[in-house]
Amino acid sequence: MEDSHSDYESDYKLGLADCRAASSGIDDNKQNDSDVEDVSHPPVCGRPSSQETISGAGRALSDLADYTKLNRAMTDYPWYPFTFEDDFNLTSWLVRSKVAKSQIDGYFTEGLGGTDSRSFQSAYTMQQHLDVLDPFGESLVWTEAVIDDGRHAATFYCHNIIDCVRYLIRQVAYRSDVVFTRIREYDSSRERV
Amino acid sequence: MLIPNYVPGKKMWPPRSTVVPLIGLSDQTLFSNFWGDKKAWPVYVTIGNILSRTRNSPVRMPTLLLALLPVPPEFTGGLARADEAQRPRNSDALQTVFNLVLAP
Repeated sequence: MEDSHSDYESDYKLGLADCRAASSGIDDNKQNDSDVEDVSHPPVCGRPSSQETISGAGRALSDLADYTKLNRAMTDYPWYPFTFEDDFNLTSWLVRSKVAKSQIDGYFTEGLGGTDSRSFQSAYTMQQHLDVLDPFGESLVWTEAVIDDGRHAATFYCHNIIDCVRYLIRQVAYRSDVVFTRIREYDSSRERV
Repeated sequence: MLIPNYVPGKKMWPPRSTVVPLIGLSDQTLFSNFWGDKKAWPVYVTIGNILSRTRNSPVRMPTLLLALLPVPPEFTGGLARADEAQRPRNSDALQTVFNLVLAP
């Protein structure tokens, strides 16, 4: 919210909330991290005056038992649900080029799509393949919610944040870049990021 | 990671548990190319477990659209009084939305 004309600017309550969150996070660093740099800089807004207990938290969300199976399937059938690499590349190009559905349908209607051996013959069937391509995509369902302050009601849309976290942490595409313990990252000039 | 009876500052993680830091991002977005001066306030989320080289990469799409904030009704006019009335309303709306969206 860097724009000074934002309708959500100058929200002093949020500023306080941020400070509280920051201070609790720094407390956590003191407890678990021996980083002297973190410890020597106290939080700007001080410690929160009270401790908070989150009831009902701590339950396991799910395990990653299917992770190996999923990876094996992706190794055995790398272009699934597409039959061939060419089909995948064609779809990739059509999506990246933002070709309209009507033009994709026209491409196949005029026989430019080649033989019948293609995995798809229309924009609709191509979309069906794309839906299969992301096995976790369907978990990200939009929820419509309403806030009502008694005078005005406003509608907004959101995803379930647990589903979002589950989606991100299970992404095979990020597998080599996901860590499960605390690490420190440095850029090429040895500056901590 | 959700911890039972979590108390900030206390080291009480269960064995083999993983902390998943949530990182939220938001900025006003203009749809000037499509609907004139229409604006939206998207809220994005990503996790700190993804290394920064991927997390900060725009092409690897490591952020998800978490919510589209509602547009509070605006008080008319540019008077200071209208601004004073608008800010707490926006603040309350924002706080209510985040309470709903971030509820465990």
